[in-house]
Amino acid sequence: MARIKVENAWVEFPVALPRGRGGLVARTGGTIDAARGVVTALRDISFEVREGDRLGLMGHNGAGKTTLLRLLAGAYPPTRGRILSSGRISTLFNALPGLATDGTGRENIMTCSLHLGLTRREILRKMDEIIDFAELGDFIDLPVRIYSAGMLTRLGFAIATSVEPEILLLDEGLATGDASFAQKAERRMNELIARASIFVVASHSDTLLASLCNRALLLEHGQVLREGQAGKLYSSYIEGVILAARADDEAAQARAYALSTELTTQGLPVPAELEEQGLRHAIRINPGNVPMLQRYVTLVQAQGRILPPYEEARLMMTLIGIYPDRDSYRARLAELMPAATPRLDPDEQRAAATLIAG
Amino acid sequence: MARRPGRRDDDRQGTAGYEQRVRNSDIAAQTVILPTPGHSLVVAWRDVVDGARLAPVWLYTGWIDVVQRFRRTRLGQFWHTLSLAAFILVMGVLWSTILRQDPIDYLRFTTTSLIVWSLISGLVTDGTMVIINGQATALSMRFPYTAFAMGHVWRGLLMFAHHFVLYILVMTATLYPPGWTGLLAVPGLLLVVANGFWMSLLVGMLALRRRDVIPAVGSAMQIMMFVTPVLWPKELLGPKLAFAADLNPLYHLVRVARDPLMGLAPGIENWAWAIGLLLVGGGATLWLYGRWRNRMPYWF
Repeated sequence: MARIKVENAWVEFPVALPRGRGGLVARTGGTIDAARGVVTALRDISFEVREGDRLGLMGHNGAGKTTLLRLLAGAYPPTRGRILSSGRISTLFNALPGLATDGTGRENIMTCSLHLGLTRREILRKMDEIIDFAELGDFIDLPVRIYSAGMLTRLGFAIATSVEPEILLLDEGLATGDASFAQKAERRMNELIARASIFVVASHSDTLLASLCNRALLLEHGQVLREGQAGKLYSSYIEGVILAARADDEAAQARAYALSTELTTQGLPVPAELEEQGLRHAIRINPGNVPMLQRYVTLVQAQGRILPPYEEARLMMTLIGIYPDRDSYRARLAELMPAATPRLDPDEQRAAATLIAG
Repeated sequence: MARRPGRRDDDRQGTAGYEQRVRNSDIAAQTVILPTPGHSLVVAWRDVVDGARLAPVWLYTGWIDVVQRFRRTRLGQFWHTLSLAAFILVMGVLWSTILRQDPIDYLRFTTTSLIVWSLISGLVTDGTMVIINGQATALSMRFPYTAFAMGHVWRGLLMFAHHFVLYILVMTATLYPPGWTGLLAVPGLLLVVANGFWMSLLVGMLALRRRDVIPAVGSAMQIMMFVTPVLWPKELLGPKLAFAADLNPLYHLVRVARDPLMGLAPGIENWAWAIGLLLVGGGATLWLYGRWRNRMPYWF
C-alpha cells in the first residue's frame, strides 16, 4: 500500500539576516522571521495521499510547490511535525540525481538510474529503449556537456520515466523539446501516471492540473489555502481572485493579469471578468497604453456595464494627451469631473483642470 | 524506518513484479518516518547500513568519476601518477642531499610515504566537497549522505591504486622486496580507509554548514604535510621534539600503512593510535551526523 501522510509539517530554512529586518512577507516566497533566523517555506501542512490519488499542487511562483514536493520525496525532513510514507518514490525534478556533465549519455543513464533505485541488470535491459526514446542517436556516446538543452531534457525525461515507481512526484516544466517529442512524452507520462498508484504534480498551469488530477491543493505563502477537486478548485480560485480584484486589491489584480496571460499563452478562453481585472493592473503599471485602454473599455461594455466616472476620466486624460486637438474628449472630461474628483488624487485633479482649461 | 511485521508476505500477493522491486530497493519499500525518530547514534548507524546497501550506486559512480575526470587528457588518470613520480624524483635527489640520507633508501622512503600521505590527504581535503557535490541527489530523494563519503573513499582507493604502480616500480628497481611483513599493509590500509570515511564525512558536514571550512581544511592539510614526518624521517626531530610526531594521529595513521610497505612492522602504539582514532573520531562523527541528519538538507 503506497501512502504518504503529512502531519503538521513545517519547513523552515535557516538564514543569516542583517539586523532590523523582520516579519516581512514578500509578494512571493516564504515568510522571513528574523528573530529566529528562519525563512518559513511551508507552514503547518497536513494532508494524506492514498492509492489512486492524483494530486495537483497549485500556487504561484514561490508558493511552496517545489518545497512541498521535496518534502514528500523525503529530501527535506520537516522541521516541525512529521511525514510518513511507504512505497517506492521516483521524482522528476529539475536536476537529475547523479548527473555528470563529463560523462557520456550512456554512462549517465547508468548513474542516474542507479540513483533512482534500478539495478545494473535492469538498466542494461532498458538501455536501448531509453536511448531510443530520448532520440539521441549517435550522441549517446558523446559527453552530456555538449548536448543541447532539448537533448538533455529528453534524456532526463527518458531516464526518470523508465523507473516504475509506486509514487511519482513531478515538478512542472515538462518542457520536452519539440512538438513531436512533447506528444510522445505526454503519452508516456499518461501511461506512467496510470501505473503509479500515487501521483503528485506541481504546476502553475492550473488547466494542466485540472486535466491530470482528481484532487488539488492550492498553496500560498507556504500554506494550504484551499483543497478540493482539481477542476472546481481552479474555477472557485479564479472567482476568488476576481472578487478580491474588484474590491481594489492590487495583488489580486496582478494575479488576474498573470492568470489571463497564462490562459492566453495556452490558447484557452479567458473569462471576461478576469481579463478586465487583469487589465486594471496592466493599465496602472503602464498608464498611457491606448490599445489596453480600448480593450478595457470594450470588455466593460461587453459585460453591459459602464465605466466608473473616475476610470473614464483617467481614460479621457490619456486620450487628450495623445490627441490634444479633439475637443470632444475635453468636454467629456469636464462633464465627468464632479463625479470623479473624490476618487482621483490631487495630482490627477490638477492635471485634469489644466487639460480642461486647454 | 521500522519494517512492519509480515510486510513481505502481504506484498507477495500484491502486484506482479513487486517482489522484485522490494529486493531492488529495500530502502525505499518500507514505511519511512521523517524526521527520523531515535537516538542520534541510531539514526546515524541506520544511514551507515543504508549507505552500505547502496554500494552498487557508489561503486559505479566512483569508478566512472575517476575515468571521466581525466577523459579529456592524453595521459588520462596516470597524470596523477606522473606528477607524483616527478615530485618523488626531485625530492629524492634534492632532499636526500639536504638531509644527508642515503639516496636509494630515501627514494623508497619518500615513495611509500607520499603515496600513503596523498591517499590520506586526498580523502580529507576533497572530503570537504562530498556532501556539497551531492546536492542534486540529496534534494531530489531521501538519500543517506554516508553513501557520498563511501563513494569518496572508494574513489580515493582507486587513485591510490594508480599511485601504487609507482611503488611497485621503485621497489623492483631498487631490488627491495618487503617480504611477508608487507601483508600487514592490508589491515593498515583498511584502517586508513575506515578513518578516511569518518574524516571525509566530518569535514563534508562542516563544509556544508560553513563553506569557510573548505579553504581552511586545504591549508591545514598542507601544513600537516610538513609537520608530519612523511618527507623526512622522524629521527631528525631529535628527542626534544619527538612528541610533535608521537602526538600526531596522522603520523600513526601513515605508519600503519607505510611501514609494512617498506617491510617493517608498525609498532603497537601505531596500531593503538589508528584504532583509537577510528573509535573516537568515528563515534563522534556519527553522533554529530545523527544530530544533524535532519537539518543538513537545509544547508545546501
